[in-house]
Amino acid sequence: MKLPASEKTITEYHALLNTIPVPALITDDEGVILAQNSRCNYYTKKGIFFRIGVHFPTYLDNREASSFLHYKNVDPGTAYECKLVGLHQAEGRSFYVMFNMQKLELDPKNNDYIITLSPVDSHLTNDETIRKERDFYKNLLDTLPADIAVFDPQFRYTYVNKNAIKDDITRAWLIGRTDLEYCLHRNLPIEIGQKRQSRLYKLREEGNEYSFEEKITRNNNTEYHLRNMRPILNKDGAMTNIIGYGINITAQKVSELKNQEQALAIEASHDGIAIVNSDQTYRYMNQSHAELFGYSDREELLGKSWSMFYEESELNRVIAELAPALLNDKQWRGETIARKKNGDYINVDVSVTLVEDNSLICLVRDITKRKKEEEQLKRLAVVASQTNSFVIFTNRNHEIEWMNDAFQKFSEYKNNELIHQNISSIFNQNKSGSDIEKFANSIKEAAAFTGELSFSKKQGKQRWLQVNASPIINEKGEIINYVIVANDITLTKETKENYRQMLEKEMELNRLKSQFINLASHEFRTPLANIISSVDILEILNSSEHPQPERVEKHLANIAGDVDRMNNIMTNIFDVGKAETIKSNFHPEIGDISATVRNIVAALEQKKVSHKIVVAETGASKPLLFDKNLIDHVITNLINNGIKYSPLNENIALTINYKNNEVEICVIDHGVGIPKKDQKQLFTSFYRASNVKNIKGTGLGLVIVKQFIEQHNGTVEIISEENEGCIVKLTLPLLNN
Amino acid sequence: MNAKILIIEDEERLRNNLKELLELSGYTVATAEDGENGIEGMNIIQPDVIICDINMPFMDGFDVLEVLRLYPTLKDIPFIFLTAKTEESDVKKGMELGANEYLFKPVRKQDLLDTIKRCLDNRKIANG
Repeated sequence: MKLPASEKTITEYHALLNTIPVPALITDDEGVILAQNSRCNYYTKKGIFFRIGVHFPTYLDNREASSFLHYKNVDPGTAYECKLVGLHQAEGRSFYVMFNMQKLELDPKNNDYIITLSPVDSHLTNDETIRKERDFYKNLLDTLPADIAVFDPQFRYTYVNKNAIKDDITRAWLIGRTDLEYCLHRNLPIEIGQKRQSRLYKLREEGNEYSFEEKITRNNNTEYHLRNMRPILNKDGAMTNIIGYGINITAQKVSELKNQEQALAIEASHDGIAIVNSDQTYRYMNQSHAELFGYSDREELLGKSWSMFYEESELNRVIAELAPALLNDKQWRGETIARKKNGDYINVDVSVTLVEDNSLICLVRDITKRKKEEEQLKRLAVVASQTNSFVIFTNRNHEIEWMNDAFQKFSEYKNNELIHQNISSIFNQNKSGSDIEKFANSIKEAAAFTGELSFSKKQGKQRWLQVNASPIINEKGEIINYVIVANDITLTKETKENYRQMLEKEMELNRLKSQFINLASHEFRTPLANIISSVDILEILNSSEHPQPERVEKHLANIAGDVDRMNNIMTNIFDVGKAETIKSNFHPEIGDISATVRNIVAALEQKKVSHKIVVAETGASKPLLFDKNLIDHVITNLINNGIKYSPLNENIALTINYKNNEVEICVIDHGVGIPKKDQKQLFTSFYRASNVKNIKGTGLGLVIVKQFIEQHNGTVEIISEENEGCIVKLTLPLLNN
Repeated sequence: MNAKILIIEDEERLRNNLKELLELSGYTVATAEDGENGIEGMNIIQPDVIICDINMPFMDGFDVLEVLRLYPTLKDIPFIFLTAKTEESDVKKGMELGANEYLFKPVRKQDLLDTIKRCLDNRKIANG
C-alpha cells in the first residue's frame, strides 16, 4: 500500500514542476496524476488540462495506454511518442506528444514519476506518411487471422490483437495482467494459465523460441491452437519483450485424430490388413495379417512378396482371376488356400482393392474353421435329408422349420402344411400309451426327450413313432433349435402287443387246463371209488360160504350206473371239442320251438328233478329254423344249471316271448347268481364263477350253450346279481323273412 | 367189542358201499351224509375212528376236523380223510389241521383196512 502524497510533498512537486519549462506532471507508481505545472495549459484554452487524481493513461490512445506501465520500466530518459486523446473534444483535435518519464528521486519512499511532455505538432504535419504507415501496421496486426500477443519480461500482456481477444473491454483489461489472471477472469481451467506461465519462464531462462499445441475446451466446444513464442531482444541481447503468435488448428487436429483412430482400428483388427506395393511386396501390414500366416514379427514380412504364401497351382489360379478383376473393377474378392509358416494349409477369404499409386489394399480373413463347419454341415444335411429316419427341425419357439423327405413321404403332408406348426401339436394328444405329456414338458424345459408318440397321417392312419428330441444350444447356452429324429415303430409295437396278448391267452389257457384236469380227475374219482368199493364187496361176497345173489346184483348194477356216470362226464367234456365238428353236423329244421321246450321240461320232470319247472309263453307262436338236438342240449343244460345253483323250494321258470323278428327264451332261477366280475368270462372254457363253492360242474356248460346258439345266429345274454338268481336270455331269429 | 367207525360222506352210494365193506370186515359202522350230522353223530356214538370226505356242501371235511378238535371228548379220535382232492396243497392242509391219515379216492379195500388198523393200534398205544 502506497502512502498518500502529503500536502508538503505536493507543494514541493508544484515548486519543482514550475521550474520545468515544458508541460510536466507527476504521477504515482500506478500513473495517478498528483500534480502538474501551468504549462500543461498549452494544450487547452480552458485552463487546467489534466485532472488531479485521474489515471494518466486515461488520456492516452488505447494502445499507448496499455504500454504506459511498461514505459516507466525501461530506458529512463527515453522519449516516447504517443497520442493524447479525450482533450479538446469540441475542436476534435488530437495531439501527438513525446513524453519522457523518469523516476522522481525527490521522495524515493513514494515511488513517484515525473512525466514531461513535448508537443510534436511538426510530426503531425511533416511526418504524415510515417503515421499512416504506423496505422497500417496497427491495422494489419489487428486484422491478422492469428492471435498476436506481446508480453513484458514479467509475462504481463503489453499488447494483444483483436483476433486473439475480440471483446474491447476484456482486451483493455488484459493489458498489464498475466495469463493466470486471464484464466481466472474467463473461467478457463487454471492449468492452462499455469502451463503458459511455466513455458514463459522456460523461455526467459533459455532464450529460445518454442511452439506448443494447446487444447481448450469451453462450453462443450474443443479447439486446438498452435502457439509460437519468441523472445525480442535489444541490441545488448537483453530480452525486452516476448511475442506470442497463435493459430487455430482445430480442423487439422480433428482430422489428424481421426486418422490416428483409423490407424488404431486397422492395427487392432482381427482381419489381416496389408498394403502391397506395385511390385507385389508388402509395405504395411497389421499384426493380425502377420499372425494369420503364422508370423509373430511382421517386420519379417515387410518387403517380401505376398505370393510366398501360395503354392504355384493355387497362385496361378488366383492370379488368373485377380488380374482381370483389378483391371476392370479395381477390386477382387475370392477364397483361396494359403500355407502358413509352419506348413499348415488355411482357407482364406481375400479382398483386394487397387488404389491410386498402384498399391493394393489387401484384406485377408481366416475362414478355415467356417469352411470345416460348412463341410460338416453339408455332410450332416445330406444325412438328414437322405436318411430313412424322420428328421424335423424346429426354431427356438418349437415351430417346425424343416423336415426331411422321409418324413414328408411318411406323414403324407406337404412341407408347407406343417411348417410353423408347433411340434407338439402334430402328434396325437390323448392316445393311451403315448409319452406326449412328457414330450411337451421336455420341450418346454429345453430337455432332451426319448419316448413313443402316436401320429396320425394326413389320410388318418395312426402310426407309432419312436421319437428322440434334442435341443441345440449355442456357446452362450441359448437354444437355437430342436432336432427331432423319429422312426416308425408301429409294426414292432403291434407285434409286441400281439405277442403279449398271445402269451396272456396261452397262460390263461394253461391255467384253465390245469384247473380242468384237477376238476376232471376229481369228478372221475368219486364214481371210481364207488366202483372199486363195489368190486371189493363183490370179492368178499364171492368168497363167502353163503351166496347172497341180491347183494351181488345190487353191486353189479351200481358198477354199471357209475360207469354210465363217468361216461356222461366224458361226453360233456368232449362236447366242447365236438362243438366245432357239430358246426358241420348242424341240421336245422323248421319247427315250433315252444313245443320242443315243453317236451324237454316234461322229459326232465319224468326223471323226478328236485325243483318245479314253470313254463310261460307270450306273443303269437311263430315257426323258426333250429336243430332239435342242439336246442335240447342247451335247454336241458340251462335248467340243470338253475337247479344246481338254487335252493330246493325255488321254482325254475322258463319264458318264451315271441317278438316281430325273434323269439326270446329265458331260463330264470333264484339261486346264488353270478358275481358281476365273473360274468364276462362265463363263456370261457373251464371257467367257473367264484361263488360255486362245492357245487360240481365242469365249467363247460355255458361254453357249449353259446356255441350252439351262435350256430343258430342267435345270442346268449346273462342277467344276474349275486345271491339274487340268474336269467339266461337266448334270442333266436324267427323265420319271417 | 368191535371197533366203531363213523363215515361222513355226502355221496350216497359210496357211503353205503363203505359201510357195507367195513361191516363185512367186522367193524361197527355209523354214517352221516354231511359234516353237521357227522359231528352230531360222533358225540353220540363216540367212534374209535372217523373216515371223512372233504368236498361236501355247507361244511366241508376241513371244517369238520377243525370243529371236532375243539371238543375235549372227541379231539383224540383218529381222523382219516378219504377224498378226491389229490392236490399236494390239500394234503398239506389236511395234515396240518391234525388228520391222522389222508387217503385218495378211489381206495382199495386192503389200503383202507390197513389204515384203520394202524389208527386203532396207535390209539391203543397212546391209551397205554
